Amino acid sequence: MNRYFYYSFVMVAMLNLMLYVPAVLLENRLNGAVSSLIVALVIGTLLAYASTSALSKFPGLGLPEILRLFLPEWLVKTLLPVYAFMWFFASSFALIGFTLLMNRVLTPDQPAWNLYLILGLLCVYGATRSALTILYLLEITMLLVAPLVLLILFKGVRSPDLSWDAIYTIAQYVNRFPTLSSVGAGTFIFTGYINMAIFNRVNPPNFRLKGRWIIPATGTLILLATFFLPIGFHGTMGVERYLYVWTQTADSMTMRYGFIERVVFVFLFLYLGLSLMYAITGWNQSMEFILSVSKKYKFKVDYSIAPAANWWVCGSFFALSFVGLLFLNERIDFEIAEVWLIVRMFLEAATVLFLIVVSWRRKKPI
Amino acid sequence: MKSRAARKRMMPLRSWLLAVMALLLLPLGGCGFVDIDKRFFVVAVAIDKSGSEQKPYRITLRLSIPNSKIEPGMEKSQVETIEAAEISEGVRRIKALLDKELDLGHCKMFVLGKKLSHDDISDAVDWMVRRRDIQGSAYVAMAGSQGYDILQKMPLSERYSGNSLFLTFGGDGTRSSYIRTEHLFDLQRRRTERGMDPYLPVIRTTGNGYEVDRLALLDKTKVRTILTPEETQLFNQLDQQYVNSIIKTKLDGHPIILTATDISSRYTVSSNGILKMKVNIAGAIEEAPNNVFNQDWGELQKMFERDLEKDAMALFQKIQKAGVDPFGFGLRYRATHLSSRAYQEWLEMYPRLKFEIQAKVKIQGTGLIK
Repeated sequence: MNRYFYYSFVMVAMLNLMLYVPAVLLENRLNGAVSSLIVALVIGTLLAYASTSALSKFPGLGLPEILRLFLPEWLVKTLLPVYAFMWFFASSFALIGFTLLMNRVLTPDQPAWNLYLILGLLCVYGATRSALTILYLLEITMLLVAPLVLLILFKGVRSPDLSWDAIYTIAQYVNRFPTLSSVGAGTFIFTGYINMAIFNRVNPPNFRLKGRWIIPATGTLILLATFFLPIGFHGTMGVERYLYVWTQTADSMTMRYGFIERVVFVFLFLYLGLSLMYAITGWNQSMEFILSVSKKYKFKVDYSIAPAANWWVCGSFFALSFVGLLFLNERIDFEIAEVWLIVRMFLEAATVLFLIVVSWRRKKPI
Repeated sequence: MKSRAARKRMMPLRSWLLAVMALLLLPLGGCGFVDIDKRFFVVAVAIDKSGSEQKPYRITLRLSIPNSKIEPGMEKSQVETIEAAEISEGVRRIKALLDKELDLGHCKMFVLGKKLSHDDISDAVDWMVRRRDIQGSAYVAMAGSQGYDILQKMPLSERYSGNSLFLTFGGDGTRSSYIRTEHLFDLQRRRTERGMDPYLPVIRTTGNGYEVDRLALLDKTKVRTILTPEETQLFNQLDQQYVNSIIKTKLDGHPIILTATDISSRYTVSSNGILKMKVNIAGAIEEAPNNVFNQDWGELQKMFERDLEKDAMALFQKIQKAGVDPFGFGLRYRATHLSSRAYQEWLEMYPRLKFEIQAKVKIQGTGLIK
């Protein structure tokens, strides 16, 4: 189970490298993004540590069951849909964002909803699978994707085109006061631990998470790369001109002796895998939250035929996000993302706080 | 496991959903896919000023014609040119002249005409950066006269269309210390950066191909000065530590030439307006009068150092006088000075900046003869 936690963590961190996080951070690069990175690093690591220690007190229980242990039923019934919406929104928003990006860069001749049909239906199928299948799928995807993403990042850092002077220049703005939106964006890199809210159900009774130093280590690396690599490639001023700064950064690199010379296509392909995986896990957990509203719901680790309820719930996720796509474009997207990143941070922090408090109370009876 | 009856009850729902999914996929048939044999791959684009009022741009595309034989000189290209009011309009009007779909995704060479570069490159570069299919890593250069002439030229040695230019700038083929490559993303970075200015290599046509040994220095929008081949090489040596380049000095009227195999250059910009640069060059003598082996090498090194310092000083003063900053001295100042006004300070300081150059040359050998 250990490694599945880290797959989920690294997946979320790598995915956010491209989507809205760098856009928010780079917009604030001259007023507080750099100090926000440090604050986000501390907050993100603390939240991750706290939530994993708290959840280890409840082996085999997901967040819905833990809520039921300590809160009255009516409160649980109102809270679970909120969580369901959180997961649904995060993953659909990422999928829509990626669809728009693919549409802009690869398939401008067809409407975005056309592309979303394929991606969304794939996610519906994936999300209806059992928790076990999804964890296996997560492992396969991450083993295929992560090494190549790291290779591209490494290539970027070692590139002679990278202007270290530009990076040092921006790093000097560390003395500005951190801003809320940048901290919100920065902590989103660390948010992979939150997937344990449901996947904790799969954990065996004596489970202890090992190697938690990986959280701050990879988090710091990815956070710094997210922010500073585009600055090094596009300059302190030019970086804000790009809509999809990471696609452009990948397009600035070439692999002369690789099979595909333009790194951007490899990059987009990798991120296609990551976005699909993220949406699948997100929808699946959101689905679990909704199904857990009913007290009678029995979670099963694995099943050979997905229950009909799964199809209905995920089908309506698809329909909802599809309608959402028709109303969204890049401009509205970025505005929503900025608010969403802040709201999400507080919701998550509140959840983790709750988990810590109840895990302390849990200590005594055991 | 569910009972068989329960599974039977579920099957209709599942198949129903699958049928809906399959139906939803139907509209996907009409995507914009065009076969490879119905595409024209653009290998180079030139943007010139036409001189006319109504249609100020002249767009030239070089299109590759696929050939089953890959042999030097066998390649065929088609060159299309048109005058237009805007760049994108020009490209679309060229489409009307062709029987196949244009594909800019493989275009790696953009040539800006001399007149355009001396006037304003902003619109042309903005267009390139904004287009989704143009590579960020494409090469950009300035034409010695008309961009059209560069694209018309078909070098004899070309194995496939446009290959000569790609090899020239890609560093795969020739590696010349006189060539400086500029990528599109770097051009865009330099255009917007505070404290670093763009440059463009200058391509001129010769009998058999191209000559690329000069560098045009631009302020944010237009060419301010053009470096000679010697200055271009020195710029490459000082800025990129370009090895396999040469430095010269004279001994009693005879030239001595040293091939640099190891270069390091470092500089600092201090707030009292002095730029200190340290250059270390090591290499072997490639051309010299007879019996240079028994000369005093220390004396020779001093002569190299003196000439290098003199040339570098002349180069710095030339770019300073032109009011451009291709090295990125200003960015270095911003990177090392903690102040929000650093850029303002730099702008005030640069015209009066003093240069102190300290060169160290080490002769490693005299080649195979004394």
